[in-house]
Amino acid sequence: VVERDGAEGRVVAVDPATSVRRVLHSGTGLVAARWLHGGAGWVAVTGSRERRAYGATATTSIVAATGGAPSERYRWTVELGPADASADVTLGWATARPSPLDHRLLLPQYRKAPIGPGRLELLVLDVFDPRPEPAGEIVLGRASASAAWLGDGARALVAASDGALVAVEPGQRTPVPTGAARGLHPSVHPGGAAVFLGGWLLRPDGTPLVELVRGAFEATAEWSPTGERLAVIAGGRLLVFAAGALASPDPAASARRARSRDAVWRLGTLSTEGLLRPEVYRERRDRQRALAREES
Amino acid sequence: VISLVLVVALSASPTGPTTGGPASCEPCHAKETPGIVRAWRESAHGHAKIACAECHGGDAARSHPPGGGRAAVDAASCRRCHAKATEQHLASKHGLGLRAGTGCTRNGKEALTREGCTACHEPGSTAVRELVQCARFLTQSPAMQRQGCTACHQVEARCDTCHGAHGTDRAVARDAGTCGTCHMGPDHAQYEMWKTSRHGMVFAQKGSAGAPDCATCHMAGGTHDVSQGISMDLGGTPYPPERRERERAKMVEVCARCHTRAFARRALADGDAIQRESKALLDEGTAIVRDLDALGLLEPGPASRPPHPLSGAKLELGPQMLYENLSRPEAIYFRMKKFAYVTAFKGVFHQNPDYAHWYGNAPLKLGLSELRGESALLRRLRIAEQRLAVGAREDRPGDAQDAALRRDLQELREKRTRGELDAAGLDRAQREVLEKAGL
Repeated sequence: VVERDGAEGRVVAVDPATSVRRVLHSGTGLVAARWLHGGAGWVAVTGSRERRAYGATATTSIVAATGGAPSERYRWTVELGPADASADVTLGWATARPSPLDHRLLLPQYRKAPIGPGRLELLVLDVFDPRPEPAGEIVLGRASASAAWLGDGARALVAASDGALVAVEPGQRTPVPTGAARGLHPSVHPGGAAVFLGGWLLRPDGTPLVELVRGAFEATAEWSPTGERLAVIAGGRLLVFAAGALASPDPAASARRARSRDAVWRLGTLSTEGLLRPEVYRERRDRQRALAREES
Repeated sequence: VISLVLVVALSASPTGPTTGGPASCEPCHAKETPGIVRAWRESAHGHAKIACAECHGGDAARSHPPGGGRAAVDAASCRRCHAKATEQHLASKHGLGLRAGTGCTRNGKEALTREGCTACHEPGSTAVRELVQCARFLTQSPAMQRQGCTACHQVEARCDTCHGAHGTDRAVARDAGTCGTCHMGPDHAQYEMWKTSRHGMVFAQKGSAGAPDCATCHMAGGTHDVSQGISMDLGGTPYPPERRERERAKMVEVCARCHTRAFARRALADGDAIQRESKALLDEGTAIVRDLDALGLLEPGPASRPPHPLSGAKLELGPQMLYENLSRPEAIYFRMKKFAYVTAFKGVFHQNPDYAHWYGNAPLKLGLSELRGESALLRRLRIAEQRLAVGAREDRPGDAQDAALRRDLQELREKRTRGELDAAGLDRAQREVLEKAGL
C-alpha cells in the first residue's frame, strides 16, 4: 500500500496476518504500488503536476524494485492544454497490472493536439528493460484508462469514457459487446473465466453473466490468485464475493504462465546485474512468452 | 562602374537628409553616440555619403525602438550593395549560423516531426517558450542566449559580427583576432591553434607576406565562402568522396602558393587519418554510454531528468547532446566528443602538433579510459546492490538454481572485458549458456 503524508509518501508492505509493517520505499508524489511476481519485487507509480500559464505539465514515473534497490524505470512528461489541465493522466498507470506471462505493464500516455480529440498512446514497459515498446494508439474519450491483460498476455481490455470495453493488441482494436454492462476498470479472472466490469460479471466474450453491485460504474475489483474470490471496491465499500461457481483456472495453463513469469524474472535479474546483454535478454524473454503461448 | 553608379544612386536617394540622412541623425547622435558617428564618418560608407537610412531604414520610429533597443542591420540590407559577398557568405557554414543545430526551432521540420509544437511553443498558443528557443539554449537565461550564443551564431544574418557596426575597415574584419572572437576555446580552438603554430609565429614576425592567417586559407581570393576547401561538415563527418576531393583540391591550391602540392596533400591526408582514428575512439565511448543506458546505470538517466526537448526521455549523444543534467559517463563523453575529438584533427589541419596531441589525442584516450573504468565500477555497484536485495524478499526466485549460471555468465563477461570475446561472440556464448539452463 501507499501511505501519504502531504506530498511525501511511503510504499509499505503490511503482513495481513500479523499487521507487521515494512517500509519499502519513500518519496514524493507516490500514487500506488503493487507486488511483482508474488512479492519478489514491487512497482510503484508517482505523479506530479505543475501549473503553467497555458495548462499544466504532468509527470508520471514508474519506480520498481526487482531484487535490488528501487530505482526509477521510466518517466513520462506531458504538456496539457488549458482544457485538460486537471485531467487525470496517471489513472492507467496506478491501476496497471503486470502481464500474466512476463511482468510487463501496459501504460497509456495521453496526447492531445490543439485541434482534434485526445488519444492514448499505449506503451508496454518491461521493468527489466529501459526501452519501452509502443503498442499503438486508441481514442477512448479519456485522458487515461485502466488496462487488464487477458490470460494470453498478448491482448488487454480497456474501457472507454462511456464504459464500453475495447480489446487491444498490437495493431488491432476490437470493441467488446457487453450489453448493459458498463464500467471504467475491467478486471480479468486469473483463469480467464470471467471479466469484472462496473459491478457486472461478464463472460470473456463480453456477454453479461450477473450484476453483483448496482450502479457501480467506477467500481474496481481484484481477484484472488485462484480466482475463487473477488474483492470489489464500490461506493466506499469493500465487498468480497465467492466466485467458486466460475471455472477454476486450468492448472496446466496456470503452470505454463507461472513458468514463463519465473523464467523471465530470472532472465531479468541476470540482465539488471549486467550479466546479459540487453539484446540477448529481450530475445530470450520473447522466446519464453512465445513458448507459453504455443503450449496454450 | 556599377559600384560608382550605385553609390551615386544611393547618395541621390530621396530618403536622404530628411528621413535618416546624416543631417537628420547627426545632430542628436553626435551628442548621444559620438563614437558611432565618428566611425561612420571615417568609414567607406561615410566617405561615399551613404546615409544612415540606407542601412537602418527611413522609419524613425522603427530605428528608435522603445526601451532603447538596437536598430540592428541585417545581411539583407548589406546585400543590396554587397550582393556577391552576401551570396558567398550565405553559401558557407557562416550562412548556417542560427541554424547550425537541427534542434533549432528554425529547422522546424525536424522539431515538428519529433516533438510537436509544444517543443517550442506554449500548448495552445503561438507564444514561444522563452527558454526553449533552441535545444542548445534549453536552460540558458535570455542574457546568456544573447551574450553567449547569439553573439556568434548571429553571423548568419549579421555582417557586423565580423565587420563591426559602423566602421568598414577591412583590416579589422580580416584580422585573425576577429575570427578568434568565436573560433576559440575548448570546443574549437582554431585561433589558438593557428596563433601558436609555425604559420602563426611567422605571421607575427612578417605579416601576411610571410605566412597565412585565417583569411589567407579560408577566404582565398577574397571569397566570403569561408567553407571553401573544408572537407567535412560541422560535426567532423567527412563529406562524400566526390565533394571531399573537390574541396580538398581547392585547399591544396591555397597551400601550393608556398608548399609543393605533394607535401600539402600528405599533410592534409594525415589530418584525415587522425580524424578517422579519433572517431573510432569516440565510437567506442558511444557504445559504452549506450550500454550503460540500456542497463539503467546512468544517474541521472534519460528517464529521471527533464526530458530533452527533441529526443524526450531518451539518451541523446548526437549533435543535440546537452551539457546539463548529465550522468558522469555522459559528462566524460561530452568532453571527449565536443572538445578532445574535434581538437585532435583540427589541431592537425591547423598545423599545431601540441593541440593535436596533448589537447586532442591524449584527453580523448584518457576520456575513454575513464569511461571504461566508470562502466566497470557501475556494473560492480549494481551487483552489490542486487546482493543487498534492498526492499525485496530474500528468497529471490532462481537465486539458488542460477548460482552456476551466474558464474558462467560472469566468466563470459570477464572474457569480453579482456578482449577475448567480441560483442557478437559474447551474444552467442550467452545464448548457449542460457539454452543449457533452460532459459
